Amino acid sequence: MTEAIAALDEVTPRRIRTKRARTSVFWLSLPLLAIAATVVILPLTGLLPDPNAQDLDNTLAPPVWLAGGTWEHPLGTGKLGQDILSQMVAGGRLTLFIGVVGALVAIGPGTLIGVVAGYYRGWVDIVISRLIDAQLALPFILIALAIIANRGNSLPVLFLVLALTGWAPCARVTRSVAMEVRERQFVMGLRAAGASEPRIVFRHIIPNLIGTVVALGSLQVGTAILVESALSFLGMGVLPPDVSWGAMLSAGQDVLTNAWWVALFPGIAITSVVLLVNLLGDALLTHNDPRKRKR
Amino acid sequence: MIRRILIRVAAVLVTLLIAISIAFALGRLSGDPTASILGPMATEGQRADLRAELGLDQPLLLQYFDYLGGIFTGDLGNSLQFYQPNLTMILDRVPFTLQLVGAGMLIAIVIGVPLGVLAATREGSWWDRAASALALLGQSIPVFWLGMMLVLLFAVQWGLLPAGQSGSVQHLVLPALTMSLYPMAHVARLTRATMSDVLREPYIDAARARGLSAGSIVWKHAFKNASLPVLTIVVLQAGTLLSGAVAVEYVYAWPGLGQLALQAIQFRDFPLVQAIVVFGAITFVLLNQLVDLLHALIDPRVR
Amino acid sequence: MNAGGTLLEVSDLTVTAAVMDRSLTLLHGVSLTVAPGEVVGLVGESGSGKTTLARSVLGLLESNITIAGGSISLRGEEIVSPAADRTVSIRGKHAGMVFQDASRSLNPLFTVRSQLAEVLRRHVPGIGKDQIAARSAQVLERMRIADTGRVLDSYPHQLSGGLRQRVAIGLAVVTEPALVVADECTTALDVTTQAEVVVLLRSLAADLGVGLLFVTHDLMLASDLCDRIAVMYQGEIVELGAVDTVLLHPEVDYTKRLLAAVPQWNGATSPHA
Repeated sequence: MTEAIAALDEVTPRRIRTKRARTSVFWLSLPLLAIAATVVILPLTGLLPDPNAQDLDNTLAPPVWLAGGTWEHPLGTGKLGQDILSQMVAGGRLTLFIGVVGALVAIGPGTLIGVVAGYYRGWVDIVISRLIDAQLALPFILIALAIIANRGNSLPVLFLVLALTGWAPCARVTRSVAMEVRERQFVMGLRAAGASEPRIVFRHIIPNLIGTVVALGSLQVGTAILVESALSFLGMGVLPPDVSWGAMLSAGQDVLTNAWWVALFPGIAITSVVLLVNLLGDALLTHNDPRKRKR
Repeated sequence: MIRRILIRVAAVLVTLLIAISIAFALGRLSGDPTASILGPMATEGQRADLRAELGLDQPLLLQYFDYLGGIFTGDLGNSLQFYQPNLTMILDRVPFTLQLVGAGMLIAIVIGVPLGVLAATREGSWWDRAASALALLGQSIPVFWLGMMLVLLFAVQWGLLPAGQSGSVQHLVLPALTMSLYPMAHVARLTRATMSDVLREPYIDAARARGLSAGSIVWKHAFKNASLPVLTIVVLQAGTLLSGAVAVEYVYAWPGLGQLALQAIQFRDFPLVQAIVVFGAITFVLLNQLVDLLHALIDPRVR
Repeated sequence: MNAGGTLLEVSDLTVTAAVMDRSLTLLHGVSLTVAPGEVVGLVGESGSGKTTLARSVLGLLESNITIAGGSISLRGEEIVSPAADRTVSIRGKHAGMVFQDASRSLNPLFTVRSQLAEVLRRHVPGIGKDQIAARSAQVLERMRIADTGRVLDSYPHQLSGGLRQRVAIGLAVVTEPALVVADECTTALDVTTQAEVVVLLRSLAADLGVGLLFVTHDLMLASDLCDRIAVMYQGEIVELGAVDTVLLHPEVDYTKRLLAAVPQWNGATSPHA
């Protein structure tokens, strides 16, 4: 097996950029992990007030570096005096959670569907390809509207929307990669040797796809965070008392003219995390050559 | 020729039917909407009444044909909150959304295309870096947040432009600018990618060997070939723009289709939401057809 | 001015390429001439530098490739030197080029007519519509194309491979250049079409006095078409002379090996067989 793959490596020209991509994957993961660690660990220290605690004497207080700001609320307070820093941390936790789970629920089925289409071909592929096209042609907002109008909004509904809108791009890519892997010599050899089809798919095809899937997953985390923020902003996603960065933006919209800091910080946070995740996804796409994965 | 047109029309109708059916399936198969419309306090009797009013007590297949029949006769049902035909309300709002999407797309093209071309003809230059940076940022910033920040700077801080509502060209500037960022990023990135591919084609070399001017080589010979994928993205992005329009219209209190959809959702106006979804789906299928048509217009090989 | 009737003069040309912060020498002091009406073949294996030489004449080198020494002159006027590149003034007007793959050297989105018209408008100042139409038809007739009207209004994909290559040659010569550089322009064609194109190219030289620099890896073809042959190996011209001299009495080992590799050569023509 491994020899056959190594032999294939010989004939396939390798991208020179992979080494640079590997170091950039490291440097991009670092800040993301740091953010994740912060939003998980900081609340445990007990230093931060409850994100929903109201401080009615201090509503819409500015950040500490502006006139009127205090260290009690370093990033200022919201309409009901909620501590923005606490909200940023709590919101970050929920936003990252939604991003990761939202990517998983899209990438999981997407990969499976794509592999099935690419591997089995024939009418299965035709039906799935039509579905992918139809799905890609419908803008996500229509699907979100249809589902949320019907089911109301809750976290499971949000994940349903993310799964229904996110599986297709992933399925399209994995389909074509699966098609390509299927034609490789070692797969042909396995079939000639009488290996069972599910075994070939799960033991050989899917592992060969992992690099691509991880990269797509990373990009999908960014998409999920953006979708969450838009839906929460419009009141169709996360609702109080839960806090997410998108929900914070929704609160910030109401007080935009007199307390800009409420909307500024979560926006910067969303943009930076999505930017990092997108860069990471691009770097992974460059880096991933499925054949190099065991090393 | 007539046969080909007929086949074409049939294909469009089939795609339309699929899209409409998906909209129906999304609306009906995800469960009974009466619970979320009436809230948890409603009695079973009230819910049964509403189900009857919406026709949800009928067999599913009958509902489906009813729904199809309605669409083909131009009847998209009535709104629960406005007591008006859904189609009339949608058509009232369309011009506003169209204005926003059109202006946003125009800005995206006017900036994105030349930037992409410059980046492709000068790979590794500052233009190239600017295009990459724009593409990355455009895909990472939540558009509505950008809209809020623009309001903060241009309307609140400097008082240069109105912060919301519609009516004049000044009212359109900020929303259109906000709308344009995401498609601009896409257009710039795609233009750069396809142009740099096309510029490596042998016919570009041959055009240089024939002594044609640099301007003609880049803008006529290369760009016409690169314009096909760019055009596809432009038209299809117009669809994605509709998604963005919902949030942007909310930020700027712009009286378009997106605002209507939001009102419908907030009041659990189930028939109106469904009508908007169907309207959107049909628009989409037609936009896709437009792409094919434009392809045939530009490329003699697909005629 | 060169009284001896030299059209193209390449003297001591050295060309280098920058590849990953190293400098590779592609041509080492190459010298070559082409007279009006003369067909000079440039043969050698791939990587020998023959395409680099051909492309330097028209200034079509990649951006990482530079002229390190020597010069190229056309009709006594220096067009290429390390100091300056004046190929823009001759490209398409006094020198034309025909490429390997005609189906890809014609822009797929424009008709033959509009591609010819653009070249004419660019190089013949003040040319009128009627003249453009007349000269376009005329050049296609010279290319031995029968129904010029249909071909003019066709898009490249509507034409056969042989027709496309003749259109491509037509595009190179419609401005009546003194020199034509053909880079493997028959490789992609089948044998019959190849023969037709060779006849066509020879008539350009014989009837119009066009100087032709013919790049090929096909020795048989070169011997059919050329007056003189230059054999290139690793960036140098190792042998240069009249076709018969080079092919029948090769002096250099490399040429002998090249000849030995041609299957028909051993039995049919070679005196050493």
